[in-house]
Amino acid sequence: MGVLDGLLGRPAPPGLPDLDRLFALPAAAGALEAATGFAPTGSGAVCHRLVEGGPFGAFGSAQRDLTRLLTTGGGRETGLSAGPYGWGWAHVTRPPDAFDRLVADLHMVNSTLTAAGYGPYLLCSAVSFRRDDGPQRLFLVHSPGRGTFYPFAPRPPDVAAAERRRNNTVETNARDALAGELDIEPDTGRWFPVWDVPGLA
Amino acid sequence: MAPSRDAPDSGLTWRMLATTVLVALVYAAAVLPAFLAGPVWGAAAAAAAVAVAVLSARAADRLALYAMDARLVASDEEPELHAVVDRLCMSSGLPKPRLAVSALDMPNAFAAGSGPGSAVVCVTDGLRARLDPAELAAVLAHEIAHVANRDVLVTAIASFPGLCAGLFLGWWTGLITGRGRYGAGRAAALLAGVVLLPLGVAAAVLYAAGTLVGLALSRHRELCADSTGAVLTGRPGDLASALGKVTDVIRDASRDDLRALRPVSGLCVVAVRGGGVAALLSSHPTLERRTERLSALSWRLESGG
Repeated sequence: MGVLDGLLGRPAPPGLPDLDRLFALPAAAGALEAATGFAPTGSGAVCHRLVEGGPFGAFGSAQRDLTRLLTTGGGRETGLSAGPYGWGWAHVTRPPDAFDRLVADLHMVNSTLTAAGYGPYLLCSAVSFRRDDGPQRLFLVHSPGRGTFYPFAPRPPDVAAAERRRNNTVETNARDALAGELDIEPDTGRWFPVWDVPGLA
Repeated sequence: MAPSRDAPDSGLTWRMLATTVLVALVYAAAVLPAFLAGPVWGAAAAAAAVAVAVLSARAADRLALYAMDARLVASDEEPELHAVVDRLCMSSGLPKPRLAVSALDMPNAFAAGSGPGSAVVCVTDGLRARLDPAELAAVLAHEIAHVANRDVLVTAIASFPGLCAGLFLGWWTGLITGRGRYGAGRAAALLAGVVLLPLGVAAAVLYAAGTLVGLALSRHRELCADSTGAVLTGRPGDLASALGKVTDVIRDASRDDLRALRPVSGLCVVAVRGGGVAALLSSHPTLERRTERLSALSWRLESGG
């Protein structure tokens, strides 16, 4: 948003997300596994605003289209969840070896909502990784507004008493491993945690 | 079928431009008399006006936090609040503001700081106790919209000439009435007051004009922040119900409770003065006006247009 727009009180112009950046994920996942041992778990999710209008409003019908698209085909488990603050997740789970198809599914969720006019209400897409069935998870989060990726590694709750701590070592290693593969968000202040991402619990 | 993210009507932009011109006129009126004394004095007055306006905008956040008895909270103290603000920043692309919590029981929230880089957003305990999570998110989005629009800086700059004129007016009235002065001093003060009569009249006009323009600007910025915030969250209905709840509590509140919020009234999400104030003298639009605009946004989102 420009300074002038801000001074005049105009909302930001619709920043149409560049969704094709998601397709860089499968190659990057290979590099990540080679460098750190974190492999895809096969689950991923897209976070978006629950735009108001009720089940029969425009957003409700876009969500129904989305559910219909996700349930045709098969080979995946899907679901929608809603949080108290007005954000919801659409999540998809596929077998771990079908990572490129999972990324295609997430792309489809994003592009369906964008085509219905809800591109600005997409918050992020996240795919989950783990190492040898260990408790530590690693998520790669794509922020469509910025077009960048960042790692998010919540500490497993059973290791430390304090909940909601992040494992900075894992995150930094992931960033170094992915430096040549993905556009990593340079400002670590914008590596916003997503604690309610499906597949964390 | 895409819901448009434009401002609800371009009339807002035009009114904004008009108020900007008015503010510039107020500034010119404040500075021009100094040019009569010579270009150097004029330039000095202009520089001083700009410097003090910027300084007052910079210090405003600390003052407001102090007045509200608020403290900054880190993300491990208030994970839920931080999670909401994180997401609003992800959506809006703004840097994350600092987050403060005030122990006051009056439900309100305000944003302070001169720009997105140094902003602070504060909510009171009363607000968090009374609102649903989704409504709280809507209020936070409204405050973040203020940050994005640089409203604190804008209103501080706009209200500054009126403030200075008010101070000068008070001093000049003191001269004329001779309060606290006796004998020769009183006569001298009266003489000085008569000599300064043109300046006093100018200050009175400037004070009245500056205050009215500043309040008009503030009301306008509130409407802008309402629509920016609602567009940011996609849920104008949450903000409308939050405004309704906060307004109800403030209307029923006692005078002492309201006094606690008085210093930061202009910054708050809902003005602390209840009914009975003429619309022209209010820093916030009426609840009906705001709800009307928000429900127009709701209707557009619902119908997908």
